Amino acid sequence: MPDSPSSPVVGLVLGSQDATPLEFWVGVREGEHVQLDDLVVTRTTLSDGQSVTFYGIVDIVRKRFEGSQFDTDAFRVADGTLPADVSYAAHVQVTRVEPEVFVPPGPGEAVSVVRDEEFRRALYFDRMERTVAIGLTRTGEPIHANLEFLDGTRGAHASISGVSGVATKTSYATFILYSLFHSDALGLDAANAKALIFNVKGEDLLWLDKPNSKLNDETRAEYQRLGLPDGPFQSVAFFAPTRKGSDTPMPDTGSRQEGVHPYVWTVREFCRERLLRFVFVDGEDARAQIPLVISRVEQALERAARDGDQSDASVVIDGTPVASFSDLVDLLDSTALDNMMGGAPVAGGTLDAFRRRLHGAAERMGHLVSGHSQARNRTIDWSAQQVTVVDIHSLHASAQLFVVGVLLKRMMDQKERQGGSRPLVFVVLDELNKYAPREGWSPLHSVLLDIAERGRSLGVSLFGAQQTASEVERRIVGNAALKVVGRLDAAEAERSEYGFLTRVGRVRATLLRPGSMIVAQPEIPMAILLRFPFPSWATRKDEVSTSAAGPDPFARMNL
Amino acid sequence: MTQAPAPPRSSFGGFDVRIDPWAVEYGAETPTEFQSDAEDASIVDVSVEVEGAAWAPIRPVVVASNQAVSFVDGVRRMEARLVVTREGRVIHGALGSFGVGVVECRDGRAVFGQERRGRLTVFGSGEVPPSPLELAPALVYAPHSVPEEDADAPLKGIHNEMRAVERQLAREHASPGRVVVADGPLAPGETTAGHVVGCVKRLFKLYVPAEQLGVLRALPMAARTPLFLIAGNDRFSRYSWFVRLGPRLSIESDFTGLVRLEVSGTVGKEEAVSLADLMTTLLPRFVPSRTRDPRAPQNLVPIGALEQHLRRGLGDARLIHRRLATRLAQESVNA
Repeated sequence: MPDSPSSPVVGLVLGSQDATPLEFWVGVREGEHVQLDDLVVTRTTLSDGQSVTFYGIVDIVRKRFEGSQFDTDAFRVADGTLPADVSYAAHVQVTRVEPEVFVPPGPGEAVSVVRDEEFRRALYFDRMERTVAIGLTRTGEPIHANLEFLDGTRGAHASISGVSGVATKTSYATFILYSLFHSDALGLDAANAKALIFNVKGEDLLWLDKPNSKLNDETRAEYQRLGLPDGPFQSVAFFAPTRKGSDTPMPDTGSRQEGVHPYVWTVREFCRERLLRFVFVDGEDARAQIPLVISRVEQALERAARDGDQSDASVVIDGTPVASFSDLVDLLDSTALDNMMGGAPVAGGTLDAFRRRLHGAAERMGHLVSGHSQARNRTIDWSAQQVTVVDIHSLHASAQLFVVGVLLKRMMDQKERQGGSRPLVFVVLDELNKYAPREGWSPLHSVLLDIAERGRSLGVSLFGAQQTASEVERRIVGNAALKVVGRLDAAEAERSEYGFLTRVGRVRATLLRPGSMIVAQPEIPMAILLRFPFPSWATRKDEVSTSAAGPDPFARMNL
Repeated sequence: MTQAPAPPRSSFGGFDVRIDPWAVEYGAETPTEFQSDAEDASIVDVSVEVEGAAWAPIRPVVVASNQAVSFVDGVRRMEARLVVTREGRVIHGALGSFGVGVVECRDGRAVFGQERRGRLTVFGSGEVPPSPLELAPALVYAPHSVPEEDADAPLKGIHNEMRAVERQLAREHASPGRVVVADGPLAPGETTAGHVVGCVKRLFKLYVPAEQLGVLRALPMAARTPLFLIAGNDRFSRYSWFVRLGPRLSIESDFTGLVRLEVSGTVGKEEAVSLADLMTTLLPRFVPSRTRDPRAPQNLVPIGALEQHLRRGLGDARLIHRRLATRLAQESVNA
């Protein structure tokens, strides 16, 4: 006999179904139980005496009356007239064969559910040099990811998909960030690593710096098992767009004002940094000659911004002072625009189309550009703290694109100038399908693609979230090392983007509850179902105060 | 494939053993019945419960149905017919397996109980195989001998061994609180076992004289005939009655769907009547549908399931046959 598994035997490898090196069935012994997601181990001995260990994960469990031929047998058995043996079997998908001798396990070999050290081996955690905790199994064992696949060493990016409202995508991305920043996972990189989170919906993320008063002991114990403190984020700054119609910048947020910095760009910054392109967000803008017009106008604005007092928020263009976005629109309505073309062969209709769109955009994002002296130094500075939350949820979709585009572009430019892959920057962006759709055009498309493809070498890791991965640019999803799904729509779950899920995994993805995710990572051949603890930071105002509340962490999900 | 260990020079001593290829019964788990009914010359008294002239169907009042009842049955299988030669003399032999088990029905649950298995190498004509035949570690055929010389005698020997184990198991299980329904007629040895009811599924002999046959023919569902006493000459006396378990189709004989039950005469008339009433109310619950079992309604559900269960326990017939063939081939090479 090979050395027997250290955990108690729960069953035997079945011989009535094929046992193969990659999958096999286990007959569960009477009185024992095996459930989905249990990790199991079995060993077989080769003729030369070498022992081969198979680790695997249970993905199907079933019971049936053995030898039963008729549906009515169930009634007969219940009646007490038909004796029947119940066969309880579990299907095991092999995750690891050690050593790599791909023989089948032997029918009749003992199978155990693994614990502790063997559990870590089953999921290759023993081979990961640097890990970060990404959740717990349903039985409470911590699950780790290989940090080298998140920090750019061997890979980067996470792609999180799931139905809005129940998939808890942003919560999970935030949890991973918390785990990265509040454990020693990052090591020396921790000091300078940054995260940029775009708050797309609600104001959940505006309380990251406050401890959650509704945390119970059970959740605290979960954090402890994960090796994490149970508290708020330690270093956070919040930025919200400035309120419309106010010269003095004020954060446009509902639940929290205190500690939230308003952001606004001065006209000079807008011109100098060539941000005009991010104003044009419609698919049609990419057509015809409008990009040429944009580029010419940007040139003219940049030239103007280099003149005059650099500390002045406004600029003077062709002798006209421009102190607000509407001033700029007015200016470009005039022949000034024709002059800026500098003889380029642009049709009058194109200029009119440009003006029309500029007018439209001005209404939606004009308030984010101001020539008022108070607007100075109100841009988003994400270098001063670990985590920067940029609220864009109150903005119109095109203004959101403007903010995200400007920030990401600036960040990439800065990283490029710095060179090298450190410091690390993690970017959390929900609704990626809007910013980098598979079909159609977006001004952010190229920036996001750039992050996906080159971010690894520049130390930028994108945690993209979307309802449907099938609607996001293929190369962005494809580049993600960590693939995560929360609750999926049944039709969506069938798409090829979720090829990392098994047939059973796809069905389970449609049943996931808030707080449970299925995570695939490069080194583990099987996507793992895990749950992550209820946030130890507040996610709304009433969690900040010390009011007592029910223990159900996901009650607000209304399930 | 694991090979059987190298055999000794011969497993059969001085006997030359060969397989008789023509006589192998494929799927012969329920072959020829060896019922002794047909030869039984006995005296029948139909007036023990009611006068013979007053015979009429009896429908007992349904009693509490949580009565514990066990069903004992066995299956047998001939793995191979053997032709054995010794010093020019030809002897018939057989290699066979049987399994005997019990299904215990009580408290609304039916469960498989004890199970016994036997494997025999049988030689006829009084010859005894010299040693057990081990085809695999868990596949050992014990030596057994029958005195008769005819070709069916070894099979009959296996059958009788199975019946003996059945009787033993039934005796062990019977108790005042639990009735055991055994397959087939009772044997003389069962006089002591008061609560063993023999259940005869195939009616080779009706016992009942012609005057009472009308009652049998017209017996309604879940009703029984009055008791009659069978006083055997070489056997023992027992109370018997018929119960109709299932309806009869127009194409079928009047006696379809009937079973004959019997208990030892030693239980006394009172006890026999109450057992008869109990069985008449109890057994219809266990009747299978015709789609489930072609032997419906007589082959009761627990019996059918038990047979299937026991047959599984006998192992794969083809595999055993091949092991035997391999063994005999090795021996003929070694010889």
